[in-house]
Amino acid sequence: MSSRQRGGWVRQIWSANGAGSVCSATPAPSDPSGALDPVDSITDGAFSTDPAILASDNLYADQIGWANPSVVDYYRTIEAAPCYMRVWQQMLIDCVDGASQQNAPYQLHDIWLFIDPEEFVIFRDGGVAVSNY
Amino acid sequence: MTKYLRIQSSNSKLRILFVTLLSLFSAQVMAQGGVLSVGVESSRPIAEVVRTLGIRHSVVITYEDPKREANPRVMQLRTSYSVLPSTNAPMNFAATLEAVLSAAEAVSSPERFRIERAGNVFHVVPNQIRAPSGEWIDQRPVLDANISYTVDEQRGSNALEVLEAICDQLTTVGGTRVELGNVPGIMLLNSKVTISVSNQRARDVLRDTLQAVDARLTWRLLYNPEVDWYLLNIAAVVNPTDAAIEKPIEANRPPIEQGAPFLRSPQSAQ
Repeated sequence: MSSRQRGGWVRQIWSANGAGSVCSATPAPSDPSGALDPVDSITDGAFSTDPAILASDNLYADQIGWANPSVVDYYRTIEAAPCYMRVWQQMLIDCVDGASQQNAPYQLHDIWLFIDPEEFVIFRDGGVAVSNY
Repeated sequence: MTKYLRIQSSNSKLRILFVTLLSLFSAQVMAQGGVLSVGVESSRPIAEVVRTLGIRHSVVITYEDPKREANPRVMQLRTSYSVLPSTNAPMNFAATLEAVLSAAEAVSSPERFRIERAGNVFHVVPNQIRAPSGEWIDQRPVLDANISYTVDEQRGSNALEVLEAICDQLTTVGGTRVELGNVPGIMLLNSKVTISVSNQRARDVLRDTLQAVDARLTWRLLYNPEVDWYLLNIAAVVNPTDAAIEKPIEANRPPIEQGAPFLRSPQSAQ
C-alpha cells in the first residue's frame, strides 16, 4: 500500500457567497471591471483538480484567509472596506485504500472574512483569528 | 469517465445522468456540423471568451489586461469555431483564438491583443489600445519585462514566494503596482519550486513557475485604472468532468444570512 493510498493528499474546494470579487458590507454583485477575480474562480478548480500532496510525515500546511495580504490591501485601497465575505471550504481527503473513498469529504468549513481599515478578522466554525495585516 | 463514476459511487445516479446529458450535448454538436460557439457580455469580453474556451477544452490560456485610462464599457462578443466531431476539440486552437481577436475587432473593441504560444500554453497579450482621438497606441505588456529570481538553495522556495517576488520585480521595473490577487494560496504554499532565472521575460518565468506546480494553472493579470493596480489572479483549468465534482458543495452551502454580523471584535465574537 503506497503512502498515497494511506492518506496521500487532501484538497479543498472553495465557494463564495456569490458576492463575486467585491468585498462589501452586504453580499454584492460581481465587479466585472475590477482587477480581482472572484473567489469562485478558485473554486472552479484550483483545489479540485490537483490535490496537495501530504508530506511523508502527514503534515500539510494550511491556513485560512488569503495567503497573500495584497488582497486585503486591495480591498482597503479601493475603499470597499469595511466589508465582509463569506466562503465555504470543503475539505476532501484520499483517506483509505479504495477508489470509493478517494474524494471523501470530511469537513465543510463556514468562513467569514471581515476587513476594516485596521484589522482583518477571520471566523471559521466559531473560532476566530486576527491577522497581522 | 468510467473511473470518475466509480469514485463517486454515492452520487452514481446523478453522475450517470450527467454523463448522459453530456453525451446528448455532444451528439447535438456533431449534428450541427461540428461547430461550437461562445458568446459573452462583459467589460472584458476577450478575457471571458478565452476563459470559457480554456475551461471547455481544458487548455491553459492566460490573459493580460492592457493598461487602460478608464474602465472599459460592456460589450457583446460572440464567435464560432469548427471542432473535430470525434472529440469536440477545436481543429486549430491557435486559429480559434485568432478568430476571437478578429471578432473583437469587428465589434470595434478599443483594445487589440496578440496570441503567443509556448508549447500547449496560449497567452493573450495586449498589443494596442485606442486613444479617445481614435488613434491606436502601442502597449508594452507588463509581463514583457525582464526579471531575475534566485531560489534559496538551503531553504528552498515555495511557489507563493516566487510569485510574490515576480510581482515585486514587475512593480519595480514597470512602475505600476502588481500584486497577487485571488490565487490557490495553499496549493502554492505547499509547492516547492527550484527555478532560478536571470534577466528573463516575466511571462516565461511565470509560466515556468506555474508549470512547476503539480497542477494545470492559468492566470489573469487584471488592471484596475481607478487605483492603478494590476492583480495577478491564478486558477486551475477545469474540464467539465472535474467541475461536476464541485456541485455537492452547492447542496451543502448554508443559507446566506441577510444582515449578518459585521466587524465584531474578536472578544465579542467568542
